[in-house]
Amino acid sequence: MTEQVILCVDDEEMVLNSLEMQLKDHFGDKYVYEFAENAEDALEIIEELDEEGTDVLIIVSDWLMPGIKGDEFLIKVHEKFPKIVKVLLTGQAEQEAVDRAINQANLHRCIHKPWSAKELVETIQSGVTS
Amino acid sequence: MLPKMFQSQNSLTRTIIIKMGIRIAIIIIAVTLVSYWHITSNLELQVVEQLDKYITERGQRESTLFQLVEENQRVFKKEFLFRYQNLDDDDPLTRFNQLFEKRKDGTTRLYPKYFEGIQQADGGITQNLSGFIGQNVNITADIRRILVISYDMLNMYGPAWNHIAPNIYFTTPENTDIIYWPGKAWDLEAPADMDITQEEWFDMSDAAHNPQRETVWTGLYYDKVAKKWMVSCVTPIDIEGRQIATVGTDILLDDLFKRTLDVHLEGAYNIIFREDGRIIAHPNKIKELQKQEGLFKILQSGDQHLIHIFKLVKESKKVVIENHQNNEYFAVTKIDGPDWYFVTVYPKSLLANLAFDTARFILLLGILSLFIEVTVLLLVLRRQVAQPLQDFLGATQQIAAGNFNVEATQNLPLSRRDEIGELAQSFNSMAGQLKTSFDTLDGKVIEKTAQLNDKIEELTQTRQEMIHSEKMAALGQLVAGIAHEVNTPLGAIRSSAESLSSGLKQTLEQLPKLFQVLTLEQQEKFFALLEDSLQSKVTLTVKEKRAAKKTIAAELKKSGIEKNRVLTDTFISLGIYEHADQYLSLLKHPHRDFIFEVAYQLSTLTRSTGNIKTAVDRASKVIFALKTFARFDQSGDKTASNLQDGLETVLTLYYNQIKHGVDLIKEYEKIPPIQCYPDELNQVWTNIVHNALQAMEHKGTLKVAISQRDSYAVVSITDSGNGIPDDIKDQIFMPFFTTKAAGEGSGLGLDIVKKIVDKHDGKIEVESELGKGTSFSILLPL
Repeated sequence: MTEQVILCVDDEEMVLNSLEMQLKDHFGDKYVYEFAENAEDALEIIEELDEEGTDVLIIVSDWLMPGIKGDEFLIKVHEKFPKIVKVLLTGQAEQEAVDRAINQANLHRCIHKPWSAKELVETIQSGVTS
Repeated sequence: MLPKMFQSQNSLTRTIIIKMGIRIAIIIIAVTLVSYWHITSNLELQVVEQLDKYITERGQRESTLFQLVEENQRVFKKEFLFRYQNLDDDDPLTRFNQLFEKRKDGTTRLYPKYFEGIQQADGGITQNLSGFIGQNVNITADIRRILVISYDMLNMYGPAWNHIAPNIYFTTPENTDIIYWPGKAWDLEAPADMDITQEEWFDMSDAAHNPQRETVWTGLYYDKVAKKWMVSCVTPIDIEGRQIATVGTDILLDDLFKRTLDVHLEGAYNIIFREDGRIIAHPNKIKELQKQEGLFKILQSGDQHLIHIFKLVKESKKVVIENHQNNEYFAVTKIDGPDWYFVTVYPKSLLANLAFDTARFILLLGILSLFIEVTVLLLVLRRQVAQPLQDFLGATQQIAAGNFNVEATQNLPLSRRDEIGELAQSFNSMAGQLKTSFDTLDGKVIEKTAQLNDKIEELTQTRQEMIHSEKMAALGQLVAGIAHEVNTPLGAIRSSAESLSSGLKQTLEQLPKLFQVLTLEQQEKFFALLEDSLQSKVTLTVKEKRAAKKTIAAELKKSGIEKNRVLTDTFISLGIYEHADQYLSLLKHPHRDFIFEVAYQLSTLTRSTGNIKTAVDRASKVIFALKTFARFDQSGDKTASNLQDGLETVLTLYYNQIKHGVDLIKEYEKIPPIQCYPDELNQVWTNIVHNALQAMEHKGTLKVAISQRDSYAVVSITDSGNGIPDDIKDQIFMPFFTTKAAGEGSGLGLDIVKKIVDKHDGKIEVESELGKGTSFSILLPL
């Protein structure tokens, strides 16, 4: 069975830590978890994994980040890897950006900060099954 | 101010005096000139009249002499003829011999005693007579008769007429002569060979030269015997067409001059000449006259002046003639008798001199009166104008100084009944009105000042409110970003709390099982692992963690453990980034996954706690900044505050806008806290940081510096944005000026910055270069 990766992107390590704990707590070793502090690093990781033959199953990305914004990042990913499920996790996002992500990146869902573990897990589960 | 006013008052008098003086002087000069002209023309008339009268009188007077001489000769001639014709035929030889003596030189002359003086039988004295009979004269009885008669007549008439002319003489064509001449024995002095008939005066009386047989006058000639210059009047005495004798009278040049030339109008001179142009007397031509032996003819003289006079005299019939050519008048009269022209030449310069003298007198009089008038004017001006003016000045100054009391106007010449008096009364009433006005005004000013103060207070209030509302607007713009700033830590806290609770539950359940599977030695290793994890202080970035993962994976592989991503992640999560191989006993344990699961869950508890702590710190920091920023200090007092704290507050609020793409450089020098309004300064930093971020579109470098320059604390905020175009540099501090789209900015930001900095007595320096960025420096006094 090939490893399936959940990639979390947020410029706040604090958020990444939380996500890691929540995901591991719920899904345990079911998935491999990768973290990136910005879109550029995330894109690098995706490329790296793709070379290894590992698929990224789902991306949970913050919207407001230095450099490439969340919606833009997801659109880029969608162009190359349309199968990856994309989730926005944001404290504050313009509706326009969210709409753009929905239309152009086939955004699965947008979670608002502060979020609950339940909300996160449900989103991931619904994303995986769809 | 005072000296200047006094100065101007002085110059008023001076100006009037000078102006009046100049005017009067001009009038005096004009009057003098007119007088001069008037006097000149009047004098001309007078002179013409005077000359006319003078010459007429003079002519008559001079004529009288010559007429008398002529008349006397006529009387003499008539008497002689009467005596001669009534004579018997006796030869008066005895009588003749008593009178004449034969001289050795061949001449016969009267005895000298008749000249020197001899008592006569009748008691009378005979003297001053001399006689001469030429050498070759045949003395006939007739000659004797004639000579005796002439002797008697000369003895009788000579003394009688001597007051008119100096002499009288009787000459016959036979070269005999008897003369009565006091002081001059002419016939005794005459040389022996003398031919009297050749003398001019005799010559003129002969038939050839005097066909009319009239009394004639000679020109000027020199008598060699008498050694004198003279003119002579001669009358021929004829009987039956034959010249018997000639009676003559001399007029000496000296006498003539005395009479005609020496007596003249002052400055004028007289000339006498004959009809034929021969000069008889001329005061300036005496030498020439004598040199030419009396034959001085005007027309041949070459003297143009004289020639012109002569011609004018001959042409004009007027008595007084104006000679324009020589600028003179002359008056002409004819002396009856010799028919001489008597001319008085009167130079016009005399007139001018006279007129000039008069004009000068008028001028001097004028200057004297000018001085008197100016002095009088000065006195009048001082008393009538300058003094009242000074009084007015004093009153004005008193009133200007705000003194409306009676003393201000008491010196004014109120009782005067002229314009100054009226002015004083007007001034007085004006002062009264001013007093009333000022009193009213004072009340009004107080009232208005109070109103104004209210307004100022109101405005200050409004300004404070405006500043506050602008601050709130800025806050409003920040809130969205701040929400994110707060929500992020909140999310982390929530998730960490959840992890904590579930992790604790699971761990507690698994602990008994763990201690069952682990040997004592393995338990020690497990606790060492936990200890290692808890003591790990090194925090790696996400990227570094990925690198550490690879290190751990390599170590595990080296220890003969197959690739296990979960295991690697666990090490990283535990904070163990190297030397994973020391835990080989655990790694090779059959329950390895379970052991590491528990270890991970235990570390999660610590990590969650740490995560919560970090998140709370972050959230508190934001909330604190927000609270600090939003505070509105109403006290209005300055407080000692650290500039760095304020700046940090603002930078915290803008953290989420800065961190994505902006390099923030902080250069803080240590400076003491300054007395300021910290809340208001926060607004200054907010506005400038906000503008800076917008100018660089949230990408680039933002440099915030605190330094000290002289007695100022300097806060510089420098962006790497677009810069401010030159054409709007002057406008950026104007209220409601904005470059932002409607709704984005109020345009009040920098206006408020300026107001707040002004309130701190600070300064703002702006340096901006298009395309490179802008630097705002706020200087606040320490």
